[in-house]
Amino acid sequence: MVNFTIDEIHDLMKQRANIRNMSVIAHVDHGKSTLSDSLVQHAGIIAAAKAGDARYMDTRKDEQERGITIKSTAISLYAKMKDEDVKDIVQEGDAKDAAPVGNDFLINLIDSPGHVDFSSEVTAALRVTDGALVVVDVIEGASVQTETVLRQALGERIKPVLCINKVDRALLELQMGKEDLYNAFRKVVEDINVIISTYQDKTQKDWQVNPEAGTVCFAAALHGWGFTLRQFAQRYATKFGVKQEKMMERLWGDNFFNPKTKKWTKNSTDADGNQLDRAFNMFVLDPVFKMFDCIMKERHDEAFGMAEKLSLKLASDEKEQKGKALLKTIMRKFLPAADALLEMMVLHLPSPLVAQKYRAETLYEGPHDDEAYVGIRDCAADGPLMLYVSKMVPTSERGRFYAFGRVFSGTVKSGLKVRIQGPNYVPGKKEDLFVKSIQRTVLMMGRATEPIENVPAGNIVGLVGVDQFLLKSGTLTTSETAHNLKVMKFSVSPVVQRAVEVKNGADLPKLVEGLKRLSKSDPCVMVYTSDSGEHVIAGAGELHLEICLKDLEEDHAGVPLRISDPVVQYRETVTKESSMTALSKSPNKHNRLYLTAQPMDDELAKDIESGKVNSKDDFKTRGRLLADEYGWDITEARKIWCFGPDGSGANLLVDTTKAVQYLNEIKDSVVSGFQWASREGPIAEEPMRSCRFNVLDVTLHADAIHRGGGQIIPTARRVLYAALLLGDPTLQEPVYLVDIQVPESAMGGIYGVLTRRNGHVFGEEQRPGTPLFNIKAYLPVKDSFGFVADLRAATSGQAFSQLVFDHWQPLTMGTISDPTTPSGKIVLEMRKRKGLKPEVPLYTDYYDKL
Amino acid sequence: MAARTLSLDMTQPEPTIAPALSTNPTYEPATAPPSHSENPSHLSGDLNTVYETDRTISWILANDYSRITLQFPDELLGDSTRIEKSLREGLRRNEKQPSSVEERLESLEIAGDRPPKERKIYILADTSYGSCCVDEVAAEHAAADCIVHYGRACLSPTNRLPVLHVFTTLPLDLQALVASFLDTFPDKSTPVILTSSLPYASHNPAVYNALVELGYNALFATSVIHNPSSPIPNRTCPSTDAISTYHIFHIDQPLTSLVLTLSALTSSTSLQIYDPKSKTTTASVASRLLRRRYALLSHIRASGVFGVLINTLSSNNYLSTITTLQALLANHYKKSYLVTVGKLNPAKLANFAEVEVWIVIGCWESAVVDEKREMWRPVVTPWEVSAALDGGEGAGVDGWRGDWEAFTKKLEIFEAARGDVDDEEGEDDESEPPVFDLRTGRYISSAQPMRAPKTSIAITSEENGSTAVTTTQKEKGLTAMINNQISPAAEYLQQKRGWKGLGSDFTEVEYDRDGNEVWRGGEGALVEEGRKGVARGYVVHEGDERT
Repeated sequence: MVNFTIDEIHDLMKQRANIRNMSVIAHVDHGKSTLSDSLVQHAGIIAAAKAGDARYMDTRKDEQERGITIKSTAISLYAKMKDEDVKDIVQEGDAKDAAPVGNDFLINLIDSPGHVDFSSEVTAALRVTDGALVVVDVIEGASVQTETVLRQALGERIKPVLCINKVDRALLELQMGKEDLYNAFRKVVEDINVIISTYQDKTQKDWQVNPEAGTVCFAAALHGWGFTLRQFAQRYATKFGVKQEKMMERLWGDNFFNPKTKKWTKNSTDADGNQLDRAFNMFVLDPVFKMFDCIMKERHDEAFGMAEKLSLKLASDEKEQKGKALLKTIMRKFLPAADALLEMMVLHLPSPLVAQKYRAETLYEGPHDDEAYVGIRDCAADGPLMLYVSKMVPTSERGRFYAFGRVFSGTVKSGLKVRIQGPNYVPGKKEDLFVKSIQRTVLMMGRATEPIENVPAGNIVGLVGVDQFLLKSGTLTTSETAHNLKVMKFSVSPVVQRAVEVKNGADLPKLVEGLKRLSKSDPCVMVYTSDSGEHVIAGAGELHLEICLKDLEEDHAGVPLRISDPVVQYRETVTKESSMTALSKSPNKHNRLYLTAQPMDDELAKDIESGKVNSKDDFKTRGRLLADEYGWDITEARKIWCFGPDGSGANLLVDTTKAVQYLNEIKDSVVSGFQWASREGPIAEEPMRSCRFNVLDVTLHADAIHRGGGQIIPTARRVLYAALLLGDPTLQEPVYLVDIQVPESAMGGIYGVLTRRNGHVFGEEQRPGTPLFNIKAYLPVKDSFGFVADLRAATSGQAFSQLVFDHWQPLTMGTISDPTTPSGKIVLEMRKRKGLKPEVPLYTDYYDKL
Repeated sequence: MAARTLSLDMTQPEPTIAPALSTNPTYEPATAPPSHSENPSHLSGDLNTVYETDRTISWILANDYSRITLQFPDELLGDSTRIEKSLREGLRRNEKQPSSVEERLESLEIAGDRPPKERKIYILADTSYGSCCVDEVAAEHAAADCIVHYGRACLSPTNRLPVLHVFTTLPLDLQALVASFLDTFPDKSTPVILTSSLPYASHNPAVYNALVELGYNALFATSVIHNPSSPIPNRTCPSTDAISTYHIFHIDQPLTSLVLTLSALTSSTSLQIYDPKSKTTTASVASRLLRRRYALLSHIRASGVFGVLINTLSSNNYLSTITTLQALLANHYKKSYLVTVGKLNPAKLANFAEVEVWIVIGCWESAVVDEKREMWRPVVTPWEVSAALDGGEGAGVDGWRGDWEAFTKKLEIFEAARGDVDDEEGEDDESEPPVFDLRTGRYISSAQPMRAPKTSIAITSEENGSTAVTTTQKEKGLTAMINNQISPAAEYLQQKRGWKGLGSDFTEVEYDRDGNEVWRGGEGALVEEGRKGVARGYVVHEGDERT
């Protein structure tokens, strides 16, 4: 059944202009996997009849069962385009070498999950691709998740094209009229363009999608059909004797055709005031509507007549079919979805050659003139190897993984010795740096893999033999001077956690091994052991955790586990500046540190977390940014000692001292103390967030030995605690953004559930032309456990919700030190769980009198 | 009292102030619960009974010691002078009273060439390591020929001087204990081991008898022996096979190390602790303690640089333990530094920023330092190190004991087992896989600093043999070498420290009005020969006068 061979693909891999790397992204249940199936079917790997319900790209059993995608899956497809199509290929930039060679194209397709909990998989998929097929359900429209993934794509400089899906539903279930359907289409296109213009890099060429430009496809993935305006324009261009481009423009927007005068007009009425049909409705929708009408009303002969006119050949057994089955058969022959999609992708998505030119600067951490950068920019197969591993894919052998990634420069082949640079690698240091030979290179084909001899720049690849060196992601290179390719930033953070224990003590080694594998197999999950000895697993949401724990118990560890209730992570912070300067003395009383804490601009904290303000940035540019955008004093902005915790968190230690002797000498010690203190704060040993600490003054002993680390590190921690406790401290809790889609009839139940769980509704909107309402609300994560089930019960299963971490919000109910208030109770419970004394310490516990 | 706030015991009243951090200068890891100061024995008036002066006197006389040292823990120091006085008087009295006329005559005869021996008594305080250990070195300063040790003792074997342990018996309300025991173990056939802290050890037979009279038929009363390597340290115990079937009833709050050891013996739920002050029995919280200790094992695996702390100078075998431990760490490509700091405190240990984990070699009682919230880096025992490194993932630590001979043996067993398994060397020019750090859930490459890293693809040029801090050409400054030895400390200085010693901060960064950086200064100062010698008087140049 396979209609291409590995050798053919290998030849194609060398033609960089003939490659398209793309991911399919969308909200859950908008039909990504089904659409991908259409494409897979076209490349001939699964039988045509099964496309639509095979979910070829869902490789796991639970994915098939639940009908949702959990892991992103890659496959290489082979497409042959017609000459006239190749001619129309639009590529940005230098056209000379960007022009494709021949009519054969290689499409590396990655199907990604739609559920927000698995957004990290999307991030990993986007990194290795250059284009994104955004799929939107015409009825439900663009949702929060669509926006999230699209924003990520644009952040990575991935060019989007749009596929409006489920046209069949609009026709069959909602019985939409032509104009209604057109408006629904237009609304989706507009929504998507608003998102694109909001988040697109302003330095880039405009990437808005337009049906008349051919960057929008209309499809019914389940039925396997779809079309672009270009296809119709091709059909009509000769008939009307106009150019294809002209025709495409006329087929969208306020263009009307007066059949009597055979004239095009911009007015919706003719001279006599009669309503005219929109060209789109008339030339594009009409044939589709007619076909639907004929078949669903069982006027088969008429339908066969139309099929004949369109020169579609139907086998005799196909003519026996009835209703939807027949509709599917005919429509699939009339407007095959794969053709439309392939055409759109090949024509409008960039080849790696083109894409890497503008992506190089956002991809590479190092200077923009070294060999690695040049290699990436030129997508040079003979340059130094630069390969980004974006995720690990389990192999059939337990505990081993394929490293899945993209070759940005050079050529990777079996036996090649490479430098493996983990996410913490810093050039010139040996941390996170390894040397290893690549055992084998493989092509990832959905469920299967195919060995391949070598893979040149611009392609997606699976590697065998480097999995022991990389936990989740990393850079592979042959250049000794290469910096890292930028580490991926996820849009979700692991805010929900559960502790696991083995039921049987002897199974502990298996659990430990299992945790390691789990951590590898998911880009986002966090696995760690707390100081109190609990094995903690943190995930993006309940579903994510559920899947991870199931994997751990059944697969990675394979032993029975005891799992604790979900627990939320909090952050400790200050709400105002310390009421007085905090002072602590060192154990020998000879050194004094004076410090204050103050709250940080919430925007700044967010930007640090999203990587916009980075600890690794040059301090001058960072200082400028802080001064310009957050109103910092420029001198202070340049004297940030460090970020914390882990050297990168959203807390800052700023040196505001004037002419202090020996200050350089104790800087390391104070920084160590700061990392320690910001990792576990005084309130409940939770990490700090959004705190800025100012070192005001320091008095030190004149002898070096009396101001060593032993004296300073613990003192720095104490004084930081005192400063925090003097600044009206509180906890911040994570808050979900909830997006609920519900028919009007079931709306009452939703408000009840949200109110009971301290939810706060801030948006309610009806989808035009549908009885569906979109409700947006904020919901504290701690109140969200069981929310989905609750919602289902309250609306008898009619509401569909998505929860995604949105922001941190201070606890407002009462004070943290008073256990009779809700906030105090949270603190008390947390302290008990961690085996701390129940009372929150006072500032006097850390403050020393002069 | 400082020691009280730092007490590790879980049932002690919660400290009213937060754990004192480093401002607390007197930090003692293994302090006994300060029962004595709350219940001061010197107020009871009967010092001689509590401190067993008669037994001490007869022991001294029987062995004819002339220079006697009395070692007191801090909380008993208040009684020391009275004890000394009472002993001195006692000794004088006993010597003045020869029992018979003959002896009197004899003594008269010999008086000419052998005058009555003059006995000197010294009081030792502020012991170097822990007050539970016999401080032989301090005693040797006084050229003593025997030591009387008061208070709680770890009973670690000593090898230089004879020691008499006086446990300072505390009173016990037998009725209340029996009542509490009845509540805890209603079933009279429950197998229970009776054990107690040393101050209550003398009550053990009485408790046993009282309970047997009540019909308990499966009791086992422990008695004190000088053997820290016994399954229950320093106590007799039933045969090792049967021990896991027993419940343990412990009088007085045991030390953390003992709780851990006991709960490792039987299931942790069956350890009951009787508090003689509140007269109640509680189940131990050992499982949380144990989990905390096990969490440290992953610390050990993930760390590369270890500090071996010598916290005893008297335990038998401590030298061989150090050697074994160093060999063990070297086998795992870990770097170890040998350090002695006297009594542990956070400030002292935090001075060594390079060290990631401290290993205490000391008596079994002081080895478990469970003050994580204070220590900059965790402190572990050699047993935990061996379990973490050789036992493989998830291995059990089989004790927090002071049985160093067994420790050495155990390592040999591990060694033999390992010899069979991995003898294969990886390909020379490829890196070893990193270690998965369970604490953070990341891969770390610094867990084996002593394995020469392979970070370069090209194999180039020969090593250079300079003795200064240089780096091999091959690794392009990635690995710091001193005398051709990999030195993690030098590397730490090179890569992690911002401040690298005097002179390195002569260049100062200043900011001009526009916020631009201006670098002042240049090269560091020339190194000149300074003064040397002892603090009493330094020598400036060879041959000069002392200043």
